[in-house]
Amino acid sequence: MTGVPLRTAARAVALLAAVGIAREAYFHLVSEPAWHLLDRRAPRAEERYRAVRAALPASGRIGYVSDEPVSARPGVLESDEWGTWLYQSAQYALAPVVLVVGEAGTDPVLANVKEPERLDAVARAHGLRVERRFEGGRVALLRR
Amino acid sequence: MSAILAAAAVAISGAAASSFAPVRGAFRAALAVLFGVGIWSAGYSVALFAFGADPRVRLAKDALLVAAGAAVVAWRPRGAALAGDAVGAPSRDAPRWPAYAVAAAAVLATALFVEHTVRVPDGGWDAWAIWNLRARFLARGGAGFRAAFSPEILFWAHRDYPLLVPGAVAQAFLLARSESPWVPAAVSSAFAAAAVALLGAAARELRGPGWGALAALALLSTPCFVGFAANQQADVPLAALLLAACALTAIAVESGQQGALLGAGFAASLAAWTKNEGTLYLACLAAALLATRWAPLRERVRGLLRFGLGALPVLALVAWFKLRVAHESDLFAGASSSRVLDAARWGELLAAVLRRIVYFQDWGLWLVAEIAVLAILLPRLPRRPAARAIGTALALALALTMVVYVLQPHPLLWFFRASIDRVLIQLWPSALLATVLLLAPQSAARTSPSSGAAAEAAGASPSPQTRANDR
Repeated sequence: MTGVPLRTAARAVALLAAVGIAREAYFHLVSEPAWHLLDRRAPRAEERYRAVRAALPASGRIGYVSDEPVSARPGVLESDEWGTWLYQSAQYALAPVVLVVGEAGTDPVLANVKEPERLDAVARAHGLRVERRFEGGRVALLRR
Repeated sequence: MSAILAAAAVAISGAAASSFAPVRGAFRAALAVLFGVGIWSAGYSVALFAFGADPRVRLAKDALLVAAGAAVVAWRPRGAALAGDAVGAPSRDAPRWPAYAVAAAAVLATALFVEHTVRVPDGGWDAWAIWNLRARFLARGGAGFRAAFSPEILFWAHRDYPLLVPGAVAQAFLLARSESPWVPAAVSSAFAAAAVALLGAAARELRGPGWGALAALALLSTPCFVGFAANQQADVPLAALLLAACALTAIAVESGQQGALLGAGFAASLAAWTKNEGTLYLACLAAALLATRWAPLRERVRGLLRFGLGALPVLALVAWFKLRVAHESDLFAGASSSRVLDAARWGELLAAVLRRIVYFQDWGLWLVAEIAVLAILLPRLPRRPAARAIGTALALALALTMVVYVLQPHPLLWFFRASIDRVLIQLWPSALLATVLLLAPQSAARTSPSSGAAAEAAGASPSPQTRANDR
């Protein structure tokens, strides 16, 4: 045997390609239908931070506190990814400001909470007060 | 003005770098795109770290790329031998439908790419948490761009990752004066399109038009390929650059034109500047070039030196970046040999790998088919040096990646599930090329006078060493 004839390979590729394309079509037409593209689109994470970005300094380091734990050490994962997702989406939106997890000594400090009703407790826990709320109290600037 | 100069810098530097490769047509065009974007981005990083973020620095850098590229294009002799000169007209027996199928699949892939980008404009999690985040730091940071590498940013941002993709996206943000999600999407689509074109063109150049179309169709119809491209992560760019390195290696091995190894080394070094895995792949390809018996040892050493020479400039940048800017990797935080010696950990990994082979959602039946081909046909087909060299490099890369999985500190299965498909898509286009090189009959005219395959085709060996090497 010196090789596989092109026609034989073509038949095999045709079959595999048909299966692969059918899988893609299922995903885009059935699982996540393309015709619901605009009405079911999730809001961009950074929309949550648009207003607070305007209130923050353009650069530098800002303390970051939350009501959800953040996975901050390699190999040690928190029970869910909410806190880490909140931190990462805030960092993505607010770059080049550096958000420092657990740091409450900067002025101001950014609070980013999953549940707005926990905001005041988060501020008190770090000896801070809420100065300004955004997004219905899910994001806030805290000061001493 | 600055956008025109930047476009010229990409086009002319890409044309200049690809002119060293003994290839033509779509093969050279795809190489020019990859090399052009790679040089433009690597040049940006050099200029940024050396001279700062002033817009005039970027302008001067682009002007220098245009001038240097134009000089190289003008200086290069015309009519140099092409490795693909032996490729003839399409065989009458070759079916025409694969070419039409590739065109249809490309249209569908483009539509799916656009749909995914509209649905998830910021790309996949790693895209916004790592790659586009870094691009924003570089583009927004001005003189304070080094904040991108602050140790106070959580390790999830992987500040040790190299900058080819963020460097290209950051420059595009600055040129467009916009951070529209279509900017990183456009960069990502360019790499994906170049990967498909390069795979098709390389398979065509080395085995004929029918095989080129089949290879391109295989990649386009791999379910996760378009999704990963639309996710704006660095895996598809890395795949494209690794494929360029493998394709040029195959050209060198089969045609005997070792000059192609300069380009192979350069492409591999750009892969190393794309993602940390790229450095591993570069090392594996270099090791395979030396270990695979495609020529007498002396020629292989010469080939390896050429490969290293091509890799040297960008590899120096990677080394500087790792030593001076980003030398910590979370993957090796607290690494201990006890993890490597833990049999239970290896067992867990093996089971996960076996499950992933039949992971239909991302791979359809492609991985199953690939393994079936290797198991059933590999022992029965002639040993083709180029397929062996690429296959050895990929197998070595995969094996070492498994060691990394066992060593890294995160929960094993969580980390494996989060990353293995991206690792596989990095290797997949090169694996498809190696598979075509293995399966397709090789014309005697396409073989190198110094290669073992040439000796086989001619029924004689140029030297006892070569003959021994091919056994």
